[in-house]
Amino acid sequence: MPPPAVPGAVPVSFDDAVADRLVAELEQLARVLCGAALESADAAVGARQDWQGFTRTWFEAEHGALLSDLRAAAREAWRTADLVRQAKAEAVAVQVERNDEAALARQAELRRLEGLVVADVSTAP
Amino acid sequence: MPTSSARPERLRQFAVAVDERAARAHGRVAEVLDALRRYQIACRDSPAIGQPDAVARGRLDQARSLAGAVGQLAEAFAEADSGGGSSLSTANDLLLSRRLSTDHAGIATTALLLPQQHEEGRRTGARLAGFGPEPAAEALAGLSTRPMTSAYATGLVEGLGARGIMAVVARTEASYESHRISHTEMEAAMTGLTEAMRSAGNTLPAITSTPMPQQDKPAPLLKAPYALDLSIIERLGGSSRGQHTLRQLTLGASDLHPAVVASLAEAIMRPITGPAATWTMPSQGLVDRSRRRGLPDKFDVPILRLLRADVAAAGLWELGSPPGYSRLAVNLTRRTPAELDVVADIARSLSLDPVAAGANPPWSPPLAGTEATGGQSRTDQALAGIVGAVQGMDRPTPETARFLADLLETHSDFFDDAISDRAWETLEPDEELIGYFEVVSRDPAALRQTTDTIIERGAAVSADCLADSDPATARSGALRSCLQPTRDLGLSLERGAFRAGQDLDVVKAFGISVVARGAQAGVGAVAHAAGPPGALVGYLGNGLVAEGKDQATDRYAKSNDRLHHRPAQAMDRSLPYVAALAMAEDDRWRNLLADPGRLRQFDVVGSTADWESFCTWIDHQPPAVQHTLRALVSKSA
Repeated sequence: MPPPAVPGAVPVSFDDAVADRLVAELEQLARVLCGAALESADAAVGARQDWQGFTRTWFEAEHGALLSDLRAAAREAWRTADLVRQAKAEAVAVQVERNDEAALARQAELRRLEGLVVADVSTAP
Repeated sequence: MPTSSARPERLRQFAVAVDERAARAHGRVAEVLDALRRYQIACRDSPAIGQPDAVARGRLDQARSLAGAVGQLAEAFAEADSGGGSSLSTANDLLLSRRLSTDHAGIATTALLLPQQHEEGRRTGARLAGFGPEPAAEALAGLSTRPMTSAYATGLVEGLGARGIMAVVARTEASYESHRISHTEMEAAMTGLTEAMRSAGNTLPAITSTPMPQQDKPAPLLKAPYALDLSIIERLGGSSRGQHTLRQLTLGASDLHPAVVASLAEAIMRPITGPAATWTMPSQGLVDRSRRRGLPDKFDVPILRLLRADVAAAGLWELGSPPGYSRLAVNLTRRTPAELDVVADIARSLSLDPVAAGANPPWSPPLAGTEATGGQSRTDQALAGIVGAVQGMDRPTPETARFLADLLETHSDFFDDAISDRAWETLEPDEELIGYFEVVSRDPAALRQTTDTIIERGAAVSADCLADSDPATARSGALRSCLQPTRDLGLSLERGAFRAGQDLDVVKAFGISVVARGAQAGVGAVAHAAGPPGALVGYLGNGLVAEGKDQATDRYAKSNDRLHHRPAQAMDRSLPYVAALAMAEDDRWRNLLADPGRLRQFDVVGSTADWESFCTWIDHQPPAVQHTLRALVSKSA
């Protein structure tokens, strides 16, 4: 979870629990897609029995593409889960950076105000 | 008409299993979508992460769609069954395809309409074969202007058949020659036929050198139905007239399937014997089409260029050579310079690819010298006597010249030994052998025969040497030792021919021949993921036909009678140099070389200082390159 925002810093909008749930769902989806590919490959073994001719050629091309696409979709789900994990870490880093910037800005403002006070005192009659 | 078969119940089981699984998985996608929406609301500052739910939903829909199609296919099989209602259905392809397009139109993709398209093309082809001259030309021209599916094109080519193709080409040529159609119309007709062949080639399986990932590899495919039957090309190659027809098809062709190019090459350049060999005068149409493309009247150039443009086709063609024979190397001495240049490029493309495939070629220094030979046999004494007796013969009869040429063919061991002994003792060419070749060279037929003998001998020796080598431990030195006598014989022949006033390019042809054999071994090596002996031979041979070779040839020809050891030195120096040039021209090696631009400045044959500079250049190369080039630097360096 990102640290709390200090005064003057814009809070980062990020909820760890929501992100964790998305990661879990994506990983589950990837497993389901791989499972669908495996089951389809198993089912095709029976279908191929005595299957010959142009329809078989059509099926092999379509089925080969389907297996490949299902695995690609699973890889995409895993890749997205990784992106969410990265976003979680980045949210912390961004909040820390924003807090630091806010602190620096506040210090600069304080120094500017102190300078004004000193100037007022020195120019007073 | 071919038939198809399947077990409808098995297809239904597949459909149900895949559909149910995909439907369950859809539920998981809904969960992901819900989680994703919550994430987008709660984590607004996070970067976009794409739409994995949409991708997954698309794939699962695809699975359900395939399941549905297979289910409908099961019904179509059951409806079209001609097998009597058993669990195994058989159906006529055309009927099955028509049933799919009428009752199951939703799944009637191009692939499932193949039989109908093929049949339509076949009928058109059969009709076309019976057309008169002008309608035939017009109909052929129309083929290139309207879209044509591959199945239709295959049917068209098969409907025409070999005889029909020959007939329509001949009729079109006749129309052109009698001025009934213009050159443009003839060109359009031939282009149409070529386009049909190109499109039909797309029905053949793709040829790829990149293996598919094991997990996505489809089950082994049966022979693809409705794929182009290449035996049509083969039949055309069986006669001189058919070869002429194929040359018309080849002219201006591009993007042909590699197997089609390989078949065309085999058919066009196949030697024909018997009555079918009756020479066919090239038609005026072919001559004019060639000339307009700036091609010489040598009609093998177009097919050689197609091979050059497609390394897969060249590999298929070369690997299809009968054992101990190279299609690339045959008849080299009959090739024109224009053809030789293309052949050299083909050899290079076949032999350099294995270099890239082999990360660390097992080069090693040359082996020690040959074993000492024993005493001369009677036959050898007689042969030596003949060689000595013919010295200085100015005008041998053709019979004598051919008798002498036959000696080289029938007693090659004698000549190999003679040249090896001489080289071993003095490092100089044998004057008597040069004199013998000079006499042979005075008869053109005998000279041709002798040249062929030497080239074939070199190719056979290199093939034997490669066959005896384990690809993983093949040695450049071993091969070099094997080839040395043949190469020296080639040099002696060139010098003899030079004295007889003949201008020969034996070394160039020999180099290509050796490359061709190396190419066979190299392509085979890639196929078996073994070492690259082809690369080794490739460099040796390629070097001889490269720029450095010409320089070397000129120099030793000019220095023939002044300094005998120069030819050998020229050859020895040119080998590593041209190998380096070949590396510098190759994208995969160039980046490894340090200062490749300097190479062209070296005159390694003519200047000892340059040769030494070249050796220094080698010293500055990375270890792998140094090792390779040093293995080629001979003892005379």
